[in-house]
Amino acid sequence: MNKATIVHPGFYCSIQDLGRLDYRNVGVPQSGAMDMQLAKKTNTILGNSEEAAVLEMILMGVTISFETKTYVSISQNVDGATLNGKTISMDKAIAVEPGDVLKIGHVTHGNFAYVGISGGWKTKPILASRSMFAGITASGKLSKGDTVPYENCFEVVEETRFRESELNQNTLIDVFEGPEFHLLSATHQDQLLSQTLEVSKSWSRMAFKVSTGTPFDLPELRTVPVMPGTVQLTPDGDLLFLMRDAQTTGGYPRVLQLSNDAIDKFSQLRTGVSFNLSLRPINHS
Amino acid sequence: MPNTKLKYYQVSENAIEIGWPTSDGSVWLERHKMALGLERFYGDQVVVNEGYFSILVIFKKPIGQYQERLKELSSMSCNLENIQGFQGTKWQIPVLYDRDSEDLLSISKHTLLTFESIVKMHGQAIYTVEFIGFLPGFPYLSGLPEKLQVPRRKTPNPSIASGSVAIAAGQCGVYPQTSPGGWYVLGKSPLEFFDVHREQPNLLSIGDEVSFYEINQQEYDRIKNGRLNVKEFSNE
Repeated sequence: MNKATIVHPGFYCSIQDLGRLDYRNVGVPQSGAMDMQLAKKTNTILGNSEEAAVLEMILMGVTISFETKTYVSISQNVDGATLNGKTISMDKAIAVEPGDVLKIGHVTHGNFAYVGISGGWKTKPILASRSMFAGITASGKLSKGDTVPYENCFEVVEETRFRESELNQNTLIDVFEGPEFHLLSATHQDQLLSQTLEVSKSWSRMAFKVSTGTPFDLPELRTVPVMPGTVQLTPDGDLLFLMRDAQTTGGYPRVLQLSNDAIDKFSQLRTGVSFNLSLRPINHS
Repeated sequence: MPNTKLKYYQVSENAIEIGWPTSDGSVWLERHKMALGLERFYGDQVVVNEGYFSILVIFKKPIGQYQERLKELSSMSCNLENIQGFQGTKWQIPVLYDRDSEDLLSISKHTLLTFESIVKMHGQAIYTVEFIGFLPGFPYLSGLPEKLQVPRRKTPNPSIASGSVAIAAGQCGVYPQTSPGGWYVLGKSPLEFFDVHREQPNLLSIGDEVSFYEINQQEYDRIKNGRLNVKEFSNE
């Protein structure tokens, strides 16, 4: 197995795949790429399967050096990508030679961007997934000097290109009524769905906090299951939008649930960005 | 006859929650049988996730015909008799109680009990693993004596050590790894409650029966460093 070395990890980077669904009943978070659709596109460019692990960057790019020839792909929402100091075009697979150094500047759209590699990054799977999560894998993120294994690859099987229009930049977020939505008064429900909300400074792979400004007095429930996309309402009137690394159970009322696509979209909303919720019926076809 | 007291709720495009009335007291046995039935029926097409009074059923593919799924789920609730003889494992969990801690003082203030009575009462009770959540391998145990009722801490403790046996809100739990937490700590157990390198990472499973017994520092160190097979602390 060949190795790439993390010369600089940027602000926070980790290996992620589709996550580990099968261990929820023993309390293991699902994890996985925050913007699943963008991660899948990053894999598609290389002809990888969607299970292939990608490297996820938060806000800042990484610098990586490679041991052997391979191909990489970079999600289009970054700037300043260079290979050995030369600017590279990011809309297709990038050929990398032994000793090459890939440097990525910043994430330009949203919070999360991806680097894919032919065949996927080959860190050791733990509980059937390569997604890094502190307490399950040895560490939750990659550090300077860490090495990440990958397979030999001399050609890219299939090549699709990125289109600028594929980046999520719309701020209307689709939600369903959560199991405890009915506990809110009609006025409170209307207010929640009609007010313009703003992403706070407090966000992570576990949850994004959004203040509604309206305290909410309700006795805590007996603990219930929660999942990525569940939106809890705290007594302080904060909405907690649970993300990929969310715990599997919780005690706050689950007032809303993001649609699957909305989880990806929401994860890319930056601090200070305003957004609106759009209540949709779940299609009972 | 389908079980009419159950409520079904579609949570997302690919998840349905089955809920029991919360007035029923503990429903873990019925609920867990249902969860096992679901796993048997759907195989690896679903992931189930249990809470006190509910099961979240996550389908790995879109649900498709919701009404069809509902029929399947409610017919499942009439066939639970077929799931015979669910038997949880019995565990004897060693605990080094900490009689000098701030937390024990807080519990004493809340309950008006002496440190000795708190430790004794906690150790005499028999607990059931209701479900696992909050952290990988964190067991929610019912069976805490009425007299040991304490609320959650107003401000979470920023760091509760791995192995800590803690109580709050009528429940007992064990922190499988060091983490912030809102419960009051009675002491610590030398056992590993979650280890990804073990064939079964979680020590305790839903429906297991747990009791605690007191050990001293010497025994704690012996068990902690002894690389014992955890099965020694169970009836298996």
